[in-house]
Amino acid sequence: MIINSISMKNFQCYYGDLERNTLIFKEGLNIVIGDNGAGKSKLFDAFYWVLYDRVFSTDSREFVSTNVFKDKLISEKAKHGCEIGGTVEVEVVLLAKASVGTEFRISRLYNAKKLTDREWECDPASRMMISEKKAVNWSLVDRAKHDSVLRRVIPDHLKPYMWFQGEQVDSLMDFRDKTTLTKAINLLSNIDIYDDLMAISKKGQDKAVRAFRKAQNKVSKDKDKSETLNSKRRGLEERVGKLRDSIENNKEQLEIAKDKIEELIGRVDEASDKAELKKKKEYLEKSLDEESTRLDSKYNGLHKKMFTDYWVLKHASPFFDNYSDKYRSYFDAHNKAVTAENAQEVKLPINIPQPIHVNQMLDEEKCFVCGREAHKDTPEYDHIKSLLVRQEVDAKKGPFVNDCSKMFQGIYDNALGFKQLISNIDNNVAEEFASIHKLIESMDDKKKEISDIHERFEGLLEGDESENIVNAFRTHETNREKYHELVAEDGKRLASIESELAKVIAEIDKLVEGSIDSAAEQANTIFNDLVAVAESVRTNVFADLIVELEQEANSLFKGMSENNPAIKGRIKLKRISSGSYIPVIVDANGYIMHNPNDSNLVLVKLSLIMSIILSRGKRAERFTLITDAPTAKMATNYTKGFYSVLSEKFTQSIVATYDFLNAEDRSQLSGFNMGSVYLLQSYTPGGDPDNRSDLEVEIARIA
Amino acid sequence: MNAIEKKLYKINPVYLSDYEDMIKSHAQFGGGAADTKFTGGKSFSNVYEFYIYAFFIGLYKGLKQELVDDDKTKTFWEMESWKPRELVDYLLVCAIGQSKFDMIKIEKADDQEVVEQVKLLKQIIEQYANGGLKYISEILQEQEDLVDDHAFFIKMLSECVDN
Repeated sequence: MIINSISMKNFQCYYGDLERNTLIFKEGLNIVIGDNGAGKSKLFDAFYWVLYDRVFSTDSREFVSTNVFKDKLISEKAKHGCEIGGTVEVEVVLLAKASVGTEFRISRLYNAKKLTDREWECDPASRMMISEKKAVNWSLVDRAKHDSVLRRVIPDHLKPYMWFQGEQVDSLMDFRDKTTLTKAINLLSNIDIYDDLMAISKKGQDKAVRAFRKAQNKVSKDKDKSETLNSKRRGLEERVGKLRDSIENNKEQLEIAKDKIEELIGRVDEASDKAELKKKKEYLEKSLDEESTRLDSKYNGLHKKMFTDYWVLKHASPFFDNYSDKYRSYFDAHNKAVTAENAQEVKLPINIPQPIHVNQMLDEEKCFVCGREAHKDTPEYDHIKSLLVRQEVDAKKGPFVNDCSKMFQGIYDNALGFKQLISNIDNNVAEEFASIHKLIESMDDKKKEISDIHERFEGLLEGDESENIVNAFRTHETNREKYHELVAEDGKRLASIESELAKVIAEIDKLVEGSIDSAAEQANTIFNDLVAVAESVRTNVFADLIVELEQEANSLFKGMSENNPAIKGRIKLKRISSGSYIPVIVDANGYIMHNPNDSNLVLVKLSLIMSIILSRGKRAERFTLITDAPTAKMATNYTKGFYSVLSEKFTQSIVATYDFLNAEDRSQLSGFNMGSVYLLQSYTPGGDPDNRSDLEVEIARIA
Repeated sequence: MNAIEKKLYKINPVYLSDYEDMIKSHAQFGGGAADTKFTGGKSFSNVYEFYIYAFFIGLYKGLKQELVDDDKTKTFWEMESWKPRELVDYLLVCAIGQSKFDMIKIEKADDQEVVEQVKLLKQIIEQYANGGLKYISEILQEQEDLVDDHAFFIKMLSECVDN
């Protein structure tokens, strides 16, 4: 909706009836110019009060409701002019028009009866009325529909970012608060759908996991062991959770230390030196990290090499010789036995010749095969006779019950093959250690180079006027190193516990006998997948929003600052370990700027606020942006860009400001998409400027 | 693989319960991926690795620890599950060479005799391994800080004969 006008009756400094205190607005940039005390903030209050029954208390620096503010809401002059027993009526009327042409009249009334000069009997509450224009008449809107109309004037989620006072900019976009950006994005985008999806799927996952474990225990072949393992699992899961938290915290501290270092380096003016050192430092740190990983991997593999490269056999050769001797004896004995067995081997198969023929040969004392005589009691006769008593010999088995020759030969050959390898072990070990030492030396060199760069930074920082800047730099460097190590150590511990946890879970799985309730099993799998998908989608969507936001904010910032070469820096939305983003201002080299000037900062914050509204505000540009003194902290020549962006990006904006008090400055507004321009001036008709009981505001439309 | 070979690889040697804490400190129980071994703060990715290592330390230093029936012991994995197989074969070579295991006799032995022969081998493996574990345990008790050295076990291996 677009705001057509606002009228005030006896509202704070706006003494008199509605007609004389009316401002009419149009689409485009509407400007209400006024010096300090001219009534700009009270005008902002009027917008707020008519819709939300609240005004900004300058005493408590917060919005308070009418029943707290009471008679302070009433014009002093109206109060003064009221006789005892009389009543003063306060009213603000806002006329708004929807894009489809529907017009609404929103008014709020509040009465107070004068009891004595200082005592007032105020209405317990203000009254709101909303009317809709039907043809030429106004028709009251049912109270139940009030909220809906108000939301059409300015939706709740947009309100903080589209209706704000200059002094609220800092709190709206507090760069030190890591939740600022997340809150804004959550409010203004549909990211909450993904948050809901995550919450639902996690809830489902918890339930599914519980059901699955119950079902798993039911079919365990050793329920006691399952219970013990489950207890161990719970303990490990708790430790994993704690370690993850610890890593998270340390990462955050690490980021803070890094940011502080960046901030301090950002102070150094020598841009080329700084850029060169930064580049070198980044390269060295990256290389150092890579080498550290390689060293870990080498240490990791070092003991393994005792087995994969057989280093453990380093002194084993003499013991092979013992086996060798034993094997030789065995070999001889084994072969002798085989030979003896072979010697006994009969050439003719069993029952050849058949026993009937053998007996015939014995009867005739003659060998039918060779024809020679074989008289009784001669070796020839006995040999023929032995053919009858031959035992079947198991040719396959040979003379042994357990023939181990193949095995003994196999392990002998295997050990023999190690001979050359074992003689090289010393060299291999030495080479590996040399390689480790070389890596350590290289890392030491890099550490030294990084330390030299720090010293050079310290040298550059010494030129800074701040006293303890070098000490601060050292402190943050020490912290950076400390937290870097803590994160790495916790990471290793976490990996170890997660590995142990995986084993415990595997052991629990092994105890399962039969099949687990398939529904419980499927639910477990499905919810695990669902949580992973929801988390991944949410992360990606949020990251996309951030990219979009950063581009939009920088585009606005550039637009607002293009006429001011003095303005430096660009907005960077920096991801922190918790997954949140914080806005930082960085210089051309990517260093976080330390204490950029206030004008710069306000412009950056406004860019961010407007980019949040415009990029994710769900048709925000159709609503009216109302702000009071947004440029208060900006130097005069910084403001043009801001008004330019407002006029281009928003269908309607209403800005109360003391810019353009000088008539000649108003020429800056030419070329903008302008609405109305008003000049507010407070005055006392009686001529005494200190007499607040005579205070009125003159509203003059000047364009 | 014949029946004797099967029996040999079915040997499931034990270690004294006294060494369990030390083994748990330095070896990953139940195996585990080799690449997580170091990150887990363990030098050996399996108990059998530590056991093989201890066997060779015992062997090289000539340290045997006799186990008796009353000893409280712990089992882990049968030798057929130890890896690499070539190393296990070499261990068997050393064990056979150092023991009274009768290579000739076992070929003609009946079941009872086979059991006795296999037992001889199991005993010698256990004696050297537990002897090695005892030695390692004593060294570690004397100088706990040594375990911080990434190459502690390798250095011990190098030094156990040279010294």
